[in-house]
Amino acid sequence: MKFRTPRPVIPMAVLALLALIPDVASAAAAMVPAEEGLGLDGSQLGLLWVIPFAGILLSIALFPLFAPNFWHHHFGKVSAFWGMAVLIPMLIAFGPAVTTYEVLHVYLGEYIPFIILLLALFTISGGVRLKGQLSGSPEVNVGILALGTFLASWMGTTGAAMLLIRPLLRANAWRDRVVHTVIFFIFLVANIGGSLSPLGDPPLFLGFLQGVPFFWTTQHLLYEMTFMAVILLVIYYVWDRIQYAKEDQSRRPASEERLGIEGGINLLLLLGVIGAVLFSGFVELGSFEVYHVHIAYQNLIRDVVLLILTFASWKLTPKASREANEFNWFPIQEVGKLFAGIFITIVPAIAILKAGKAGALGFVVDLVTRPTGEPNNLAYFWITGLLSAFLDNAPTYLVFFNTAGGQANLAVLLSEVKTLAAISCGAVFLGAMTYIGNAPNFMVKSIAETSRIRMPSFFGYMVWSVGILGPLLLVMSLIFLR
Amino acid sequence: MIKSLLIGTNGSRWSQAAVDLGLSFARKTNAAVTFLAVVDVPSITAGEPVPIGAAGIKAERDVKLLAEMRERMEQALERAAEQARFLGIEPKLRLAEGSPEEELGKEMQRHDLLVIGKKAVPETDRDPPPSKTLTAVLRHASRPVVVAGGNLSGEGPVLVAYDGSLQAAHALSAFVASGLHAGDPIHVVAVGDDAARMGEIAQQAMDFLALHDRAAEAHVLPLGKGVADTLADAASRLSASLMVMGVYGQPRVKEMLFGSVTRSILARVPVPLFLAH
Repeated sequence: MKFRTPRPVIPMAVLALLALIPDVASAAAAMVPAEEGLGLDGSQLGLLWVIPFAGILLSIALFPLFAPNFWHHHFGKVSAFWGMAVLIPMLIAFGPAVTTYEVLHVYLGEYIPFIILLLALFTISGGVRLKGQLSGSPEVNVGILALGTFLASWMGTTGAAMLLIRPLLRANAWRDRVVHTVIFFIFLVANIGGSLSPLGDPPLFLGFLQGVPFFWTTQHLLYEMTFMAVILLVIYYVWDRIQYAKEDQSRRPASEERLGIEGGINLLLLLGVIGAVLFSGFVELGSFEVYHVHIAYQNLIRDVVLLILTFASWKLTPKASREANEFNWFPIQEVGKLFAGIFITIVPAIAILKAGKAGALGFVVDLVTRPTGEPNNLAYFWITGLLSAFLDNAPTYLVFFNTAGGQANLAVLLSEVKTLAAISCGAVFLGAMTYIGNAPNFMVKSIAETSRIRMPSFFGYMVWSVGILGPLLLVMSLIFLR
Repeated sequence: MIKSLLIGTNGSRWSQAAVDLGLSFARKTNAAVTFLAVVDVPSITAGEPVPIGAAGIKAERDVKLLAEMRERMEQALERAAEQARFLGIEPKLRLAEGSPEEELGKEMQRHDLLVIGKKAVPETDRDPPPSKTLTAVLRHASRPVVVAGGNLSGEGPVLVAYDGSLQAAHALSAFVASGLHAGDPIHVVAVGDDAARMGEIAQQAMDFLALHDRAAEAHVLPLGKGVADTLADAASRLSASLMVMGVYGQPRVKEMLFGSVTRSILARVPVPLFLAH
């Protein structure tokens, strides 16, 4: 089958690039004075600088829908294009010094550590495999969901979903009514369970890189997460009991096969990942500079250790386990290429947001600020969440983290808790609202479909998520985040 | 008299009904049989929103689903062929890849009649999604289409649903030309509250049937619960084994909003339907 390459992409992109040029004339004033460093002064930047950021997010959302074949083969080029749509005007407007500084700052401080952590979690958790066969009773299913919810914060939502989805589907292979089990798995294991540590979900690791302590989410999102998880598990159990009673019990396997773990060495390596990230959060070893960008030694050590753990996992895991998990590098390559563009295009947006109400994105600040000047935490939760449901939750988290004051306001955010909790819960919990809210959602759907389960369409899934999660999120936000 | 039958199969229980009915027609008419199974590539590879990191996952899933569907279609063709050979019929087998309605539409032009299953309604989470093929095929059919379901004996009384329209006249003419149910009694049923007018309309069909030496009986039925239900009741009461009717093309939006008589009849009437534009 042939897919037509959407021709408008080049002219549209060139227009976007040119659109920045008028801003360039006034942009010379947007450099932060030398004594404050080489960064951009967001208060002087116009809204046009945000177009590439919106462009790359919309490209990620729309190309797979309207030009899937083109996207599959060219997403890296699209990402590079939007990155260039920021870099070239930045070079023209601010010169190589500022541009080099901004690129190094965002790549060394955020992009590279972010990708290294995702690579480590992806490689290591993709090497563990649960063998054996359970019976698919409501008790077993709820047990797997609860285990996955717990594990998601410590091995990542993708890792926990990869580990448990196949055993869950195997356990239910004899049952005709399984869609609800896959959907609750997406709610709990692929999203909500990942809220208690920076390892759980990518946006929380970005928060960690911005200075949010490792256990801050464990401590401050525990009630929110427990509230959601317990109620969802109870609803699931009742629902599955009803469905289970309708099954033809004669098809139920006569005996269960004992569970076992293949690639168990990866569980040790996973402990190494947790240790390395914790180390970088608790130890201060000083720093060095690369073109005015401070690199902390403990972060460098963390990233090197994570790479060693990744290599060890690759070497020590039996090939058969990886093949049984259908492991390949394509997803992480895709993540690497797309985030390379996202992290560049987000630079002007973050700079503008740092300027607060005075900046061109002042209206975003107004959206989440009460007339009294206090943050509107419910607005932070719902806006971060709804954008995370349809766009990627990592950049969405960064945008609202910076809207709330970012690193400059970190002490206040950490001590007053609710605003940062609202942003974190929004980014993580509402990822469950659509198949595209978080990468493992789609992975779980695909694995279920190849196991001959008729999963709901994109909007069919939203009927489930809006119907079940919507009211729960509303109550949770009113109780804990108001 | 039909010389060549095309039977669509995909291995579902509804398409098995088409295989059973098509083969019973073939035995009676000595028509050649071609089985067609289509790997529905567009429905599997259609674009859908994917999150970052999942474009490759979708591509891998599509490859797997396509391979699985290819295997299922091959098995369906092989099963249908075995059944035909058991009845002494040597069928032609065709496996196509593409949109089922397009492939059926193209292949249909080489034959006199298409026999196809009813729209499958999923009953469990493991049944395939409901197919849009039947609706699309009926919309663009270049030959008469028999939709299999219910009584599959291929013999017994025939009910002709007649409203005097061009479509109904064309369907009746195509049915008579097909030679199907040649010796079976025919009931012409006209549904409407104006008995005198509907009687006249039914008589037009009776005259046409008499011209072709086909004995028939006319029935005028009040609209009652609606056309679909009245015809479904009549089909049961008369123990019909086939219902002949015309298909109306109507704008998709109107059909989406208000449904169509054809669709209601497909859902309610418990016998195979002989349909023509």
